[in-house]
Amino acid sequence: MTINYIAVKIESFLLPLIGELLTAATLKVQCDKIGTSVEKLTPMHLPELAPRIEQALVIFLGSDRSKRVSKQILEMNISQ
Amino acid sequence: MKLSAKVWFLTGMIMLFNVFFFWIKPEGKILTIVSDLLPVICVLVSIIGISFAVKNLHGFDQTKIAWIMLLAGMVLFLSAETIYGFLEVIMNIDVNEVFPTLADYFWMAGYVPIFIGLVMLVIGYKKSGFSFGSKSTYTFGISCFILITVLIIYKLLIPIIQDPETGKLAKFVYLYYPIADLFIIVPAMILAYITNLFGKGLISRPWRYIAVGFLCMTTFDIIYSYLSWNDMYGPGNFLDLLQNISYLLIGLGGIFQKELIESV
Repeated sequence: MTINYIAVKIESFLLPLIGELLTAATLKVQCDKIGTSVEKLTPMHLPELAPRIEQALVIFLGSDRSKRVSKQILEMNISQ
Repeated sequence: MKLSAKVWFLTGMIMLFNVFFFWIKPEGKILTIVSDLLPVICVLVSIIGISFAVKNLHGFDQTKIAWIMLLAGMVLFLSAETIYGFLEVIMNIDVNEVFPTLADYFWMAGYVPIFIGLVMLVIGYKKSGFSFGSKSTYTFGISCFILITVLIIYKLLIPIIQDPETGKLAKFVYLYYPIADLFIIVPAMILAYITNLFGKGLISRPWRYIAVGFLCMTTFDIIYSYLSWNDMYGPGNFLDLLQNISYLLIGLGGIFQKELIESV
């Protein structure tokens, strides 16, 4: 179970879009690519993570909406 | 009520009417008229649905181009269905005797952008980095595809090639349809499978509907090719239900894409 609050926020955002399986997989894969893990995700990672998630979603949402998703992730209020 | 719910309702009404009308099978030309009119209406719904998707995709990117390709294909299919109906109903031409007709050229052309659009979606998915699923499922899928292809070759393609009475142009067109259908089936099956991986995720719904829609369309067409070649097809055949529902599902796919984009 994810207890990292940033990851939880991102997961709750992505879950209705891409479902449980792919949300978990996407977060894990993209965190690995930027040299961290889901458990160790911090606000500092968001500028690197958000564009990668944007790229993953572009074929479904188009570049305009996937950019909006990226922006929403970057602007996430991560207060615990 | 959401647009998708309204179109679902419309789909239900059209299909119920289709079933009822083919079941009662009225005498005279009315059956031919309705048989030819229904696919025109259904493909029009698909065009409207996909147009909504195209309109809501801002920015000219791979996603938009893929959906434009699907739209172009359906517009060509609409032209084909309309011409076919016009020839059969208004001009009283026996389209089975005069083959290929102008309609066939539009149908054949329509397959090209549809294939391109579906392949673009698959390639775009590959770039996304999402999982493509399990190798064993693809192995099973490829085996099934090979079996179906072998069956089509033996039951349909070889008899067409070997027929001494059919001219070269007619043979080419008769062969084109099932071969083009096999090409469409590949990306449609891939899309149908990968959308399964998304579970209940909203993002998968548009693709699921267009994948199933195109699988229904190609299944209809392959069976129709066989029946038509063997003079076993006529107006009011219940097989038409598969064609009509395929167009409606594709249209719904477009509308779900519109609603998906609006939800983000």
